[in-house]
Amino acid sequence: MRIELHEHDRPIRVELEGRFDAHEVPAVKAAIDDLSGDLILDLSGVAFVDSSGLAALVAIDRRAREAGTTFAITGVRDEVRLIFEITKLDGVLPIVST
Amino acid sequence: MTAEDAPPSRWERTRVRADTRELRDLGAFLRDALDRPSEATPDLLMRVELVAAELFTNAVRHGAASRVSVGVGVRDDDVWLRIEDDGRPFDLAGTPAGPVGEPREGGYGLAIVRELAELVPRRYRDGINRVDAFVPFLREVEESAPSGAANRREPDRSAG
Repeated sequence: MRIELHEHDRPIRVELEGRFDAHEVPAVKAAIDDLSGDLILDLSGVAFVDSSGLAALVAIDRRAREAGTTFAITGVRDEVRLIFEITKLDGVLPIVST
Repeated sequence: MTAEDAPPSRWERTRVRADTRELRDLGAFLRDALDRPSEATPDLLMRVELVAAELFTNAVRHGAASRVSVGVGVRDDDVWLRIEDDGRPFDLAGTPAGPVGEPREGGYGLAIVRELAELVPRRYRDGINRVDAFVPFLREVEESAPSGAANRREPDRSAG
């Protein structure tokens, strides 16, 4: 997993590339936990998300709500959209079509 | 083993350490194995990999397994996955899946697997958990009422 931080952008932009699975979640959470402010998570380079990745997105969203900041998920590929649909979180998480 | 639960003749199998760092190679194994029938669409590959990954991670995290075996083949209109692990006995049939549609930080794995596959848990035997998961080539698309694999009546394929 490649994690690219654009900390000087407003909102802060984080690009992920690779797999967002149970093994990669700790690294992503560690990178994002250090950030504060409005956040865009760009998943256009992500080819696979499992339930651990999904849970991490829920955690990031909750943290943003608690902090009063905005959070948006962009670039969800068609094949990755499946996991959001079957868990019915596509209408819960802040997924933005690009 | 009965003919009912014998894997199809074209069957590939890998055995890996029970470590989530193996998920990447597991995905590559599945894509390679299913690449030969050219009808394996990106959607099907994603569903198969999701089911395998969730069952694999479940065995690693909740079953304290040390090794996991994953077999894959095609039978009729399904991709047949067989996941075996040497962890603690796991009552898959008796474990409820968490509800969908509500945000929480975990517990989606079994709901995902049950939505995408028909599960046939086999009897814990010789220290091995075994589950067969049948992922249909064509996915039923939900319309007004739930119609996923989890809601279909499962055929009577008793645990072996």
